[in-house]
Amino acid sequence: MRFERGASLGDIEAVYRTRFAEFCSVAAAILPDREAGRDAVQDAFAEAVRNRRAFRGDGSPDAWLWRMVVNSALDGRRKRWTSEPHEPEPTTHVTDDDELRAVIQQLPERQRLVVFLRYWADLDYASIADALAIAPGTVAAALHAAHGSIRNSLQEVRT
Amino acid sequence: VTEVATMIRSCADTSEWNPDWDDVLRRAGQSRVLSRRIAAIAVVAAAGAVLLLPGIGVGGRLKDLIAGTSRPGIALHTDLVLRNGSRAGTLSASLVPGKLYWALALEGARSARSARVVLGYGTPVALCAPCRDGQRGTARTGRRPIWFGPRARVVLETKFGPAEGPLRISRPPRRG
Repeated sequence: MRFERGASLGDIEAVYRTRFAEFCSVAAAILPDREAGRDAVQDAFAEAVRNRRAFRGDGSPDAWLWRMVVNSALDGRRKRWTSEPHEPEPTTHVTDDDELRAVIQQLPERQRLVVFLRYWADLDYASIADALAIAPGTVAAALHAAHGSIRNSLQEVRT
Repeated sequence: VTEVATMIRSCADTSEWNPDWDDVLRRAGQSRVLSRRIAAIAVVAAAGAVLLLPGIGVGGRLKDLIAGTSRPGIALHTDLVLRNGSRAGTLSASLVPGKLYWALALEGARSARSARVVLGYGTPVALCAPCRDGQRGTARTGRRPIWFGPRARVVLETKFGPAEGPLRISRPPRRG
């Protein structure tokens, strides 16, 4: 989808409805729980609606909305951590997926965000670069580093 | 890399997420209900402006139609002048197919003996006899052609003698 200068309410709603699950998955991965992730997505889109005329149309609209969602989730996490100590949700049964999620959560923030946007939101490098306001080369480097860290961590866990 | 990528993809949260666009609009302070109300108010305001603002003019004409202060059709007017040059009154009229709506305003007298439209051919069309100041009426014109040619004139018989004036298309009054 391509917005012209100034996004319309209908354009934003279309992206919201099409990719809502992906936005929530990524936001929930940045935040400690699902509900907080959903809340961050709702807040991000509310901000997009308020500021839709400020969209300049020179970048990808998906990236503009992803940037809002990621920033909203990061803001939410910062507020939670300053207001209450973060305690991971207790798990009774640890699966391989849980292990992998825990490993991803240990990555530096930029690598973690790049992993989320690449594999959970299925964005290409250019869109990730737009969304995180970094160079495409930095995206590739962060993803490469994340792969190495994940592979090493999983080997350590399993030996 | 492919193996790691596949593993990461497979551990994505695939549970159900239910979108709530109305909640987004509420948070943005732009609920659908509010938007509809604003749109409805805007429509009413625009309609009011079209109807009431004198500059646009629709309201005035509509009011005239409802109140009967003027009629649709070709607006005609004449000043009725005595032979000594003094004004005896005016006749305003509106010509629609088959009918002439007219209104007489007298000056210097409250009544006159009669008024008629003389076309220069055929039988004159009688308007009133006797006539009084402020009188209105409707004259049937039948299939008579052109009512406001150069020879069409109104003749008002007064106690001072006949007063006449050519029946011409009047310029519409400027509103606002």
